[in-house]
Amino acid sequence: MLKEPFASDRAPIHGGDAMQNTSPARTLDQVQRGERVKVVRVSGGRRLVHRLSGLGIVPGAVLTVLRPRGPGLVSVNGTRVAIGRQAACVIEVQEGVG
Amino acid sequence: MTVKTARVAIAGCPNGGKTTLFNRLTGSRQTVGNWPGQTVERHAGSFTVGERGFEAIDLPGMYGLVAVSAEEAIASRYLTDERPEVVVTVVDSTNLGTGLHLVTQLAEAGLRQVVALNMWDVALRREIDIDVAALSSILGIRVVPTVARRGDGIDELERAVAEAAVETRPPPPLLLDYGPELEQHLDLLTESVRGLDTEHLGPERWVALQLLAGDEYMTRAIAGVEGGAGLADTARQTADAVTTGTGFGPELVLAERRFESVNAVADRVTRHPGDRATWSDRIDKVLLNRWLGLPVFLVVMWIVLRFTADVTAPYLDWVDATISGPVAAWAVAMLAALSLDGGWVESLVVDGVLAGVGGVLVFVPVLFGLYLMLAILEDTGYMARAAAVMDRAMRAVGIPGKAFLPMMVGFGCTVPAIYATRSLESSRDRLLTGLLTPFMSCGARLPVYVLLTGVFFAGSTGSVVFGLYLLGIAVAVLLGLILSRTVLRESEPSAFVMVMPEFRLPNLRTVWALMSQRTWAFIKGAGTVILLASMAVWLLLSVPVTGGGSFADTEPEDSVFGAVSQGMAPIYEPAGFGEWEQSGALITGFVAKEVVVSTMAQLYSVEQAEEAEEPGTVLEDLAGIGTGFLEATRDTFLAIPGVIGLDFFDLEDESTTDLQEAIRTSFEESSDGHGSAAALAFMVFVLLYTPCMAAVAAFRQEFGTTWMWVSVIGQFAIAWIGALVAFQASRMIGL
Repeated sequence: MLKEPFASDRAPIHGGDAMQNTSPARTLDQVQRGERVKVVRVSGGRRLVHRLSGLGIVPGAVLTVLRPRGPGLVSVNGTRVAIGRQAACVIEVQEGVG
Repeated sequence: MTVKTARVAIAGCPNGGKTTLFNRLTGSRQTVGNWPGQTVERHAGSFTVGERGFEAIDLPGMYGLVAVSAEEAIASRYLTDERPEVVVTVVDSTNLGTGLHLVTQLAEAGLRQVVALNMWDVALRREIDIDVAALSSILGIRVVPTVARRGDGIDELERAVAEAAVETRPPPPLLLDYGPELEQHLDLLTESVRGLDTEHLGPERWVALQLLAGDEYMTRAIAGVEGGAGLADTARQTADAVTTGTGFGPELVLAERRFESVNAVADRVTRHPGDRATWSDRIDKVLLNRWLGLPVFLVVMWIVLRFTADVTAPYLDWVDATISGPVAAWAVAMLAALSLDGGWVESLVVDGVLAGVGGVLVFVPVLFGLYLMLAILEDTGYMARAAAVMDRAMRAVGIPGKAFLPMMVGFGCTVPAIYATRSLESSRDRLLTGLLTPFMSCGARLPVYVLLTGVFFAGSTGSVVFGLYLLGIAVAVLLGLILSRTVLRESEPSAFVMVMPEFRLPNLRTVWALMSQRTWAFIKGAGTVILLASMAVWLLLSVPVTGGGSFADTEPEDSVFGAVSQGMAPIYEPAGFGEWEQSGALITGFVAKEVVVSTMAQLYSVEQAEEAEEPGTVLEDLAGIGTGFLEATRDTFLAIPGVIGLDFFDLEDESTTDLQEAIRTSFEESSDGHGSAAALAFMVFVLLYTPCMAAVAAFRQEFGTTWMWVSVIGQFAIAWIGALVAFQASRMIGL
């Protein structure tokens, strides 16, 4: 069953000047408890992006941060998703969602 | 009836109640097989609506049709290749977005769907109001609210499936607008696909979408189509162009657009009071708390292990007594009736077959106990929290928190534990977990510890056995640290992203399904191998090489087995157990740890006490088995309060038997008078070397032959070094 090569989850998808944001973007692990934020960018390896996008953590998604760290816990579309630091670091968010 | 049986695939995200719904639809009419070329179990079943029969297939959980993990690949491949007549897409009513995202993709693939809005009761409780009729008309798909756990809505779902199945026209594939930039690329790709013979792969636009998203299966499939070889490359270049243009990979861009559309639909049909904190969130404040999470986890695991050890012990004794008592007597009586008693046939049946069957069945109660507890933890939702709590610590060792479940399963039996590594996302995580899991001391190793600690460490048996369990964990940690910093240095464990399902009371059906699945994996996997191996050992013991005995009537020492054991013995001399009986027990221990103790009894030529019971009548025997079972049940209930107690592994010290005496003498001799040190080394060896043949077979199935050898040889080397260190060190401290 072991056919695929060991792929690192680290290679970031390059680019990124496409998104112009007014407020500075932070990564998810820097957000305070209870904040509602909007995802602006997800980098990270293919496998991680695949996992996150399946759960609806895609640019434009609104997350409620129940716990920022250790592990993080967010609510997305009513589902609770635990997110480790490694993954939280590649999710860039923007505040200001009512 | 001439109506053809229609195939109904049950698809859905993990944790959406997909399997519960499948069980409700098919009841007991299920068959379990394997997916072609896979070890993942394939559950199929049948149901009828009126006159019409349907075949239902339970697909592995999936979030979309682009597959990254092995299980997702099975689901998406089945849907692509087989194109079942109807797909029942199970959507969690409390999480419409993620479910509809999957529905959207299946609709783009042109599959005929019926949507089951499952967990409708939870949605009602949370005051989430979904307009089913509106949703159905927007999607153009039949939508049925269901509560699979209670069986609500199943009749309506069946009717909807039957209606959908008689439609002859294929549903028009959903056309989602991906925005001007992407559409331009998509149009070009779709045009190219249209030029090829791809009808079997689905609608052209969908083929193009999958190619653009980089789905490996579709990329391979298109390369196999006449003239399609170049298209895979074109798709890759297009994907690069999209990445450059948007700053994101195509898969993410597609998901973004789909979710935008899906969330718009969800908003239109749903009214809900907003994202409020649930009581489940309040529990999570404690369970996931930085300071409380770990202590709670340790207490829970303590209870699980105690339950397994204490509560199942009476049943273990009962199974053992039944097989070696009445069942053996019946077999001998039956052979006598056929005039086959006394000879090699009796020897084969009693020492080969029954010993093997007994070795397998004796562990069923333990596994049942452990897997019952784990299934309850999984079904309530705690297991996801445990993985989250453990993630950080386990990551340090190079494996993700999710690997914690296979490890726990490994304390019961290594075979289902190795299969359980499939739930991990990357092949790297699976392999590393598979390499470390065998060091979790499985239930079959316990009797060896019990026997030897009884002889050499009477009075402190509990702490010695507990120490061995800890040593196994420590070795796994150390090995994980080493491997993740050397061979697997280039890669990291998959980042932790895991849905925390809402806490709920365990459901009997689901728990039963999970528990019996794992126990069966043991009986089928380990059972067959152990039975065959038990017969092989019997054969080796029966063939004489010296001493002039005849077939099946020879001293163990003079048999082929004795000769091999003598040849192996010098290897173990530095560790203090170089007697041939000891090395012989380790050889059978390679086959299965269950038989180490019985081999020792056999090689030391001592009859075990419980054999040679008075043959009673069959009725008396049956009555005896019945009362034995009732007594075991009573003892189990009596043992439950003790689970909370602190006396881990309260092993009773039985009076010294002939076997114990023989073992003491043998170990003292093999170690120049350091019997305790040698016994400790022997137990360390048993803890660390290959768990059993069945585990090796499972490992090979999952990770291939090369890694199997790495694992077997590595474990042997670690065990040998461990035993050597244990012997020499404990001699130094004066054991």
